[in-house]
Amino acid sequence: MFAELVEVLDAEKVILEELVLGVEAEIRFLTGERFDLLAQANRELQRISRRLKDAELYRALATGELESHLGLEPMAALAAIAEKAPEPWRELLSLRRDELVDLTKRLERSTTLLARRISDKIGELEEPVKSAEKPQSAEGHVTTEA
Amino acid sequence: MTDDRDVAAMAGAHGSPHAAGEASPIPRERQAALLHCGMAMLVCSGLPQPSLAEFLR
Repeated sequence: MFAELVEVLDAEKVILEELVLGVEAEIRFLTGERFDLLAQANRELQRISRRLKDAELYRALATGELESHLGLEPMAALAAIAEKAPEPWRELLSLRRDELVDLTKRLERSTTLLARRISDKIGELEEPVKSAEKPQSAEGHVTTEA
Repeated sequence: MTDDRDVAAMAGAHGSPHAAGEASPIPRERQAALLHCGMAMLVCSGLPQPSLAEFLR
């Protein structure tokens, strides 16, 4: 049971690492205005996100068994499972938790930066249109008055 | 999932009024770039998944 959870967490860690790399790649493509590559990266990130959802299901199955075995409430946190686990599983699970927390923080930072860059880029892309629209509306206003 | 053909179609590359010759306020490449940016925003808005944060609390 513990070995299965460790295995599931390792798989989830690999997927999270891929997500972080994917988001960081999107930031580079956006900065370099490689919108063709950005589109490909979007699709890849969607695929990785689906794999992460699958991994969450496997994790839910693995933790469900352990929660019953350890007398924990459903939806227990990994820290609570690790605390009740015998050695060497306690240390192995705590180590995975630390790694996943670090990765999640890195992913949060990257997605925050990506969201900011996207907003800036959308603003840049829309700016010439907004500038071009201003004289037109002024003309329209004059025509209406005449 | 949106692929390049969808994006191109949405951007007016195939059969849209703009492709038929009407003046567009936004050039086609810029429209496509905007759509890809929008998609990127959608994809990254769901990351990381809240259930993982809950598990790691």
